[in-house]
Amino acid sequence: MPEMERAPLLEVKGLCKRFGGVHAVDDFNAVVNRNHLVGIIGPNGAGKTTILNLLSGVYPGNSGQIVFQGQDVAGKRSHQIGRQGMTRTFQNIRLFGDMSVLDNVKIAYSWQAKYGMLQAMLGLRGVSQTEREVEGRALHWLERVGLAEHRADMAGSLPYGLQRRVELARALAGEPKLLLLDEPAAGLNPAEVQEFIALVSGLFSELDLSIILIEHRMEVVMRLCHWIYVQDFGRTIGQGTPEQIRRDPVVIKAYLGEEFE
Amino acid sequence: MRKSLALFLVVAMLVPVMALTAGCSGGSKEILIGNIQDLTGPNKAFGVAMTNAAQMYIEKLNAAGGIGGKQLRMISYDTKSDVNEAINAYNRLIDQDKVLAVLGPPIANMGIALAPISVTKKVPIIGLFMDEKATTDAKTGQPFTYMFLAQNSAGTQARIMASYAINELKLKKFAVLYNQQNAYSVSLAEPFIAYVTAHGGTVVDKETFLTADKDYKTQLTKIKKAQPEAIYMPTYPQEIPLSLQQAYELGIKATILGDNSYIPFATASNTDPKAAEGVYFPYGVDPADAKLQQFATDYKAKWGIAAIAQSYSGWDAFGALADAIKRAYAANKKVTPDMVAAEMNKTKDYAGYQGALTISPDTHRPVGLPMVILQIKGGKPTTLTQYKEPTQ
Amino acid sequence: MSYFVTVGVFTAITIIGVLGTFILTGLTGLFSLGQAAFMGLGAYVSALLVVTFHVPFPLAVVLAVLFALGVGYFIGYTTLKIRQDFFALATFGFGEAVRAVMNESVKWTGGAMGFAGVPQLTTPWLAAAALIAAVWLVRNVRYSKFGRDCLAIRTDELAAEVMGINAFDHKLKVFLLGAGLSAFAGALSAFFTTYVEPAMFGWTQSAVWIIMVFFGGRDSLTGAIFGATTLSALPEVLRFASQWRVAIYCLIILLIINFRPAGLFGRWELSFKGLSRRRPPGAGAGKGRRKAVAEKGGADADA
Repeated sequence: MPEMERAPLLEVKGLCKRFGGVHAVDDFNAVVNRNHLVGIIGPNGAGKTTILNLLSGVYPGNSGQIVFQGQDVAGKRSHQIGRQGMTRTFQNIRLFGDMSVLDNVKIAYSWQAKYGMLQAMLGLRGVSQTEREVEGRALHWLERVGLAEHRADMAGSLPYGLQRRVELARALAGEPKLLLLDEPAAGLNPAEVQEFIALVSGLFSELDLSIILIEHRMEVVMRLCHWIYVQDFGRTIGQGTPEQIRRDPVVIKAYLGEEFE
Repeated sequence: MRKSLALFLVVAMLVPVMALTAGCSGGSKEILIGNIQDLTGPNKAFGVAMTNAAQMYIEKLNAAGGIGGKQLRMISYDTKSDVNEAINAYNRLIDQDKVLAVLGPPIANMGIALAPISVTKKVPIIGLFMDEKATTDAKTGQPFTYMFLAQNSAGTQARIMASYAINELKLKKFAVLYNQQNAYSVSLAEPFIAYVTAHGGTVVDKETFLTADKDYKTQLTKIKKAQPEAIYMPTYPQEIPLSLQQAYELGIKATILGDNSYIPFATASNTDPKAAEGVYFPYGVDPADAKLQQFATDYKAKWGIAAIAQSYSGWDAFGALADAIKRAYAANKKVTPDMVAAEMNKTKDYAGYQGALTISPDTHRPVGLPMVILQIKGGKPTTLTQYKEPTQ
Repeated sequence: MSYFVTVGVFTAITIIGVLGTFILTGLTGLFSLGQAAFMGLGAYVSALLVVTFHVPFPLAVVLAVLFALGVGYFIGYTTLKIRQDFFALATFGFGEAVRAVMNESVKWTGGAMGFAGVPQLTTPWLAAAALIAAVWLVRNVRYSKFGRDCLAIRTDELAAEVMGINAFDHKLKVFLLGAGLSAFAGALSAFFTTYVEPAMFGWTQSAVWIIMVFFGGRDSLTGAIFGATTLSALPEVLRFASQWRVAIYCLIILLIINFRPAGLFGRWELSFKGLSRRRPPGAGAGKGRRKAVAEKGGADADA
């Protein structure tokens, strides 16, 4: 399954990150092909979020390569990586709480909107035209995640489950090739989890999109992912298809426990 | 929510308008004089001194029947050391309160800022703004028609000190130490240097410091090396004890010349009495004068604080203004701001605490107004002599 | 010129300066204590050009604003990379340094004595036109992507970066906009009072502008304008209180900030198309401020 004709969308080689003396990520290697859904699992403190932070340029790694669409993006800043087609959500939801839901999603288009400060100041015609386009595209994503009627609400005033969906819409509005989801089902009730699984698999089948998913709920990972990396203390202790992972004795011992046998 | 906000908006907009127009009454039964002073902020002491003195003058005058049967009333506005506030206050005094004349602040910058405004508003300002730019239009060299100074200008004060040092103390080699950020300091230092160099003296060193500086030893060490016979230190109240103390600690033996803020700051408790010993400085009034001491006693009794230089000169400024109003009323049976301005020009030998005040129509500043030269002896300012600006 | 007109012109000039602070501090969350220094640059440069070099007034104003933008670019480029709390200190240092230069270059600026004899060329009509133009410009920016980006960066800079926004670049643009507006206000003020002195442009002036923005509501353009108008006029209204008016003024501000932390207007905007069209439902002025935004700095909670 890894060997395909086209070059992979993302190839991570020897990625390392230390915080003080702690190896948060130690020699991480991974391949994400186009239109694939990859999961990263592991116990708390395994370095999963650190991997997403390194990929999205929140901070630089100590060594290693991150080849995204044929370009090494290691060491690039977040906004550069975002513009290249890699967007993400956060484990603890980072919405712009003081802004409306619609404006939150519009933020994804700021860097693409084709007008400068001077044009904005003078309110030239191109500005309102671009703004209408942006609004249309942002609304499209809100409709897709089922939040159109909340467009004018303050993002910070929405219930938790809806905030997760706003964040997803915002990340999708960046029109990414690779979407990083950091525990997107955390805090959702069982019904919401089912809706979420349906939403992600729906989006995945509609869009030309790859996803890296970090999740504690095995149900979500096992049902959605094509390939799974298992991390423990910064190291990859196993990888494979959900079926292989389920049977891997190392993984079971370190993480999954008896129930998945 | 929306309605209450809109209502609030309307009320909030209306209140200022009503408050602004409230002062428009201005009955013709009294004569209104405006007063623009720093009643808050760092220069509060000066503003309060002038206001208190003027208030005492008004009470005395009103008790004696006022002017032409009308009582005087003063409207005071605070300027909190802000030039824009002074401009607003002046405009308001004229447009809303319809005052006849204005008692101005003892702050040079405010005088300079008000001068061009007075050209269009045409209501005279009599004040203590020492800098000559407040009374003389730098572009034309002519005096501002409505600006009058009621104490010696900074230039005159500096020249009095310089002339006394050269002609009476027979000193020739001078150094100057001053605060380059302070208008008062600068406006004294420059004419002093000009006078000295024009009258056979030399300035061997000129050192400056900034308002925030507390340590002048670097400057004083350079001055010491230049070996002057005297050092002119025209500085502000809080800087006087520091500069005297540090000069003394460096063993500087040169004669120290000061300015009219040296009372009471040169003998402040944080100064070593020896550091201030022998210092010469000019002062607007003679502290030994019996008439002055009576005023100081009354002032203390009424306001509970001691009179300072601006109390005496403030009294003089208001007195000269009241006299001008009296003369204008006597001559015309009515009085307008223009008449007051015209009469201010004719002020001659008004008997004030500073001496005989005569205002020159050519400069709108006093001519021949003496100052008193004092020397600190045994820790106390001691009157030496009266001294006038040399005429040559 | 009558008292009301004078107060009106001063207020208009203040509003123009406050508009820059609204974008910079209100929307973007950057506390600059050097805004008044840009006003000073605008005032001194335009006054010098006209009085000393006989440059025509309109050209002098343009040159003064360009000069302030040049200085602003340098200051912004060097200080916006540092942490935001240090940014306030850095701009404070810049502002006081500018004032020191004004005081020291006696030959050009007149030093502490101030720069007198500037012709009165700021007419009430010019001030009114300048005010309308400035409000219009800032309003356009507020409702463009730049306005959104400001808020996004203020709320969560990391999230904004991840969405492709170059926060540094954006802050620099906003800083320049603020510098330009301040300098413009400064030029207008110099040619209105006819006199400039360094004491007018201290950090306390910058702080007053920030207070005006928070008084009216940091998220509301209407609020910023209202705050600037009210707090400019308030000292005049309180004149009857003589030496107590500073205390009363401070008390009023304290009460507002205490009881309406989002400012008088919160996010409410005056709109001509239906009173509160722009107000999102469920977010009344002052209420509906951030509630459930997840805690910050947890991006590497799993590290």
